[in-house]
Amino acid sequence: MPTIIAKTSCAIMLSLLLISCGGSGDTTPSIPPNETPTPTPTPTPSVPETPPAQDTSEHTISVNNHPQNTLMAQVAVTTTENSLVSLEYQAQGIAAKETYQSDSSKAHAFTLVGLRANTTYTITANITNEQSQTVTSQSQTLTTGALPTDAPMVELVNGSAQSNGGITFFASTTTPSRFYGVDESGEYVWYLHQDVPMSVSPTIKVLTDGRLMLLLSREVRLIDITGQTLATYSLPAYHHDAVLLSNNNLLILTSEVQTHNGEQLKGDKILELTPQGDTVWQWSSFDHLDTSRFPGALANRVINGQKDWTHSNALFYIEHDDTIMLSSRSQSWVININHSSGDIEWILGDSQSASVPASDKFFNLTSGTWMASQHAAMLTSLGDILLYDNRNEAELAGATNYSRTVRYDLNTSAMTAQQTWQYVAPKYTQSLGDVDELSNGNVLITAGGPGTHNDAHIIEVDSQSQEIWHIAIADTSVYRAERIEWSQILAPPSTQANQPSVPTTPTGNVNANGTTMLQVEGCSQASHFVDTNDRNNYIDYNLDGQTNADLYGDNLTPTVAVTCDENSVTVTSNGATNFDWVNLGQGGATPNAGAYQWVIPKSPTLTNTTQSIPLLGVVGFTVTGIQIFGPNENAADNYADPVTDGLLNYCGGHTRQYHFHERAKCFFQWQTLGGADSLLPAQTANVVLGYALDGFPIMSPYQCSDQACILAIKVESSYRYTGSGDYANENAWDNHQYEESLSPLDQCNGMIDQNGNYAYYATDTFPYYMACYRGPTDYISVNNPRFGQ
Amino acid sequence: MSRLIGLVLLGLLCSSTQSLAHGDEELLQIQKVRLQLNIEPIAANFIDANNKPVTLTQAYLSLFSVEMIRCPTLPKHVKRRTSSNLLNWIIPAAYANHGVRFDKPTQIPIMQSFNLLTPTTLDLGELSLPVGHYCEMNITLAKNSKPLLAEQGVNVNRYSLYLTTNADAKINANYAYGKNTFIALDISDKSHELTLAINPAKLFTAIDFGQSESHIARSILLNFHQQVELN
Repeated sequence: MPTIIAKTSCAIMLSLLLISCGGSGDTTPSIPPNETPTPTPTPTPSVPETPPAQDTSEHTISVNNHPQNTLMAQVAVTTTENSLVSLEYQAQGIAAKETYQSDSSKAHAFTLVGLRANTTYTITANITNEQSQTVTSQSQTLTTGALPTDAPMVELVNGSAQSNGGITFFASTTTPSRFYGVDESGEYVWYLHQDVPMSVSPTIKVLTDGRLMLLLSREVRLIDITGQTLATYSLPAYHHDAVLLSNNNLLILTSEVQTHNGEQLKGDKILELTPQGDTVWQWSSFDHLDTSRFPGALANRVINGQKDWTHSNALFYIEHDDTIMLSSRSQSWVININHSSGDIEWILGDSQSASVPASDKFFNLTSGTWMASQHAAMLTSLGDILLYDNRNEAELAGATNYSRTVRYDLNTSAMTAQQTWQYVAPKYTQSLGDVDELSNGNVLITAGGPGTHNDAHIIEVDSQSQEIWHIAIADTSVYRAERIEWSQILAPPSTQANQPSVPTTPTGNVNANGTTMLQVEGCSQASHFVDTNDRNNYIDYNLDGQTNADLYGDNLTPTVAVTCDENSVTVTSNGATNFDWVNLGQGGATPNAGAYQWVIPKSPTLTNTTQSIPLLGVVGFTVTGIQIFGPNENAADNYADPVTDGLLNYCGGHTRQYHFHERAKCFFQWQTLGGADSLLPAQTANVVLGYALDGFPIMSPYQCSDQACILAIKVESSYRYTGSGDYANENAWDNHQYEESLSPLDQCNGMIDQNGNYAYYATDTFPYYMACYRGPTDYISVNNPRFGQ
Repeated sequence: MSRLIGLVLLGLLCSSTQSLAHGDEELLQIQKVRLQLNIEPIAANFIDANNKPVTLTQAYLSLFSVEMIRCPTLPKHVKRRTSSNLLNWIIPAAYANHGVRFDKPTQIPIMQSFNLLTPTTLDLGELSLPVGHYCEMNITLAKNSKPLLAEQGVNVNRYSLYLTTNADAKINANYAYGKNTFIALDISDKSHELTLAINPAKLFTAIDFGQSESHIARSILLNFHQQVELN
């Protein structure tokens, strides 16, 4: 007994003095330094609460708050002999939970997940030695910290013991947002503490092995329940859904635009990508669906000049027959596609106005009604189709508006469909929505979109349409909710380790196109800079496989470096372009390099005043380290607009010491030597193209059109040309006029984005990059002495 | 003030050029050379590189300038004096004039769009070429600011290349593309007349029109200089 007390005392001291604990010699491993307790909002030391029972072995137990997540805890147990350990944890009014049993060892580390905020838990270890003798450790206590402040308010509308239980994940579709999880009582017990690139249709999918699949902006990430990244897929722009196949390939939904009958149509393309990003299969809606069918308001909706013809929103892979279900919201169809041939096997939905070639693909509905503008179609364990039927009012003129979850039983031999069940959601939702079959046969419904009101409802119902569980999330839109069961949460991590490995993102920072980017710790701006030192990032416009350095000398190998200190960002570049030189007869037959250094504020703040950009010389720089000039030439050229008057090459700039006047177009259009379709993602929102000398970013001119970011809408300038067309003799500034009504962009060609951040936009027309500065001007004259003159 | 500075800098540049043109090492003899442009019309219907029939409904190319470039024969010290470092010192490159100006007697501005479906014969003007050997010729394609040349509502002058097909393809580029091509031209003290002959027919049949429109345009620009001869 004295020994036990001594060890327990040692455990108490662990949080204070690691060096004196851990036993003697190698028999008792010490807790790694990186598990040293770190202060959290409300950390509590581990203290013994009750005397040990039947404890016949020597052990220590250390309990600490997780250093990054207030709803997790880290527990370390050491034993003097090889043992198996599991943990029990509980709090007042909360049922006890027991973790998996660890492998036989003398050191056992656990991360406890699913704790409520500001709650004191008692934790004990069950220790079984090699003789199968089990002892229970003294109880340890831990008080969790506070929730992040951005957590929306959740109300438990209905709770029932019949609930399948577990953690229900969701995230707001309004960025910035975060993935959260609540337990059966509607209490927060989980959130993702890492910063991840949230999309506007944020989704966590729970895989059968307990891994979590995050659908992020241009990325799919696999994590475990503790938030640890297991694999990352860097993706091209995709929308709404991604499906992980058993071979670790991904199916993703992408968009494409084609012109048919004089109209631009936005359709969908399904891509199958390997973990390395290679496309191994694709299916285009334009190749298989009727481009003259526009069954309702959604299909006729025109955004950015393009009809939202298909607006697909879900994929579901059916392994047993190797087919894919595609949910097309605008067509109000669920389309079953043969993964091998690409042929359509069948179409679930109203065949009205469908083209003749597809007419034999439809089912005859023998009972019930067809869905309209649906989401999240899936094949259930019963073999029927379950989906969330928004029933948009515009699609159902004259009908009562209600959203529902509905099941259809299909007979693919007789080609008949029967509506076998429906559950009307507690609110009408004109968009968003999800439905999942839980392991006990219950159905989890997400009525999370805007509609009757602004709250999101997540409901669990049983097969008799009894509401089992129901939460309401105040003033929040939720695209999809997902449930993970406690048995999966408490399972050993080895379950996850046994899964086929998925290559992680290559070391370093890679953008969605595969372009390697710079990576500098503590300098987020650097991550937007292209690593031009990487030959793969060279734009081979003339397709000769050679760089400027190959042709004109090594001094033309582009170099760019970025460093940060507390207040500023310093960019150093030799000014050599990472794209082919074109000889336009302007001052020399070969390109040139130089030595440039620009210093800009690291965290610029928006000012209430505007400052004119320098009339001549550098006003900003690209993420490839090339200078950006303003929208005019010099006096000898009448301060004319170089875009309409001058000689700019295919990339939007000119001369030997290259500088841009126009958007760096070649970054978005031509292949790189490394095989990327373009250096930076084309026609995509939130792409940083450069930085102005006041520190604000200059963006590619695209913004998301809607919450789901189905379309990236082009941002246009608010300047109108007022000249006569005599571009060569017109001062660019005197012949453009700012008109507030033309676009959201201000006089400087910038605006505050959806996340509240100010940026300039590289528009198609004058002023091309920026017309003035809205940020701090402290550094500008250092970079260009003509500023203010 | 800026204009004054510009003029001063321009004067410095001109004096520098003068000393180059009339250096100690050689006295340059200038020969006037007339230059004519001939463009062979292309057939509106042809078979492309992918054996697919193509019908052009519009085809315009905009030539910006042509320049003859002497073989490098200047003494080394003169070369050094013309290095970019010296020019940079005289006129900081960041503020140097590089817009639409033609101040080289070896260069002729064209700045005009040509209908490739019809034959073109045009007197481009007169070059002032120092007697000697010429190894390269620069031809630059670029849009121009000539008055509206409207074709079906489109001002084709605003494109360096503008094509439409009966399949509703609109193939265009509005950026400049220039390239030096090798020539073997001797300018003596005798009178010269040169012809810039462009035969785009082979250019178009060598292109796969199944590519995306922007890639077709690039392919045409990249291959254009192979279809130019100086006679």
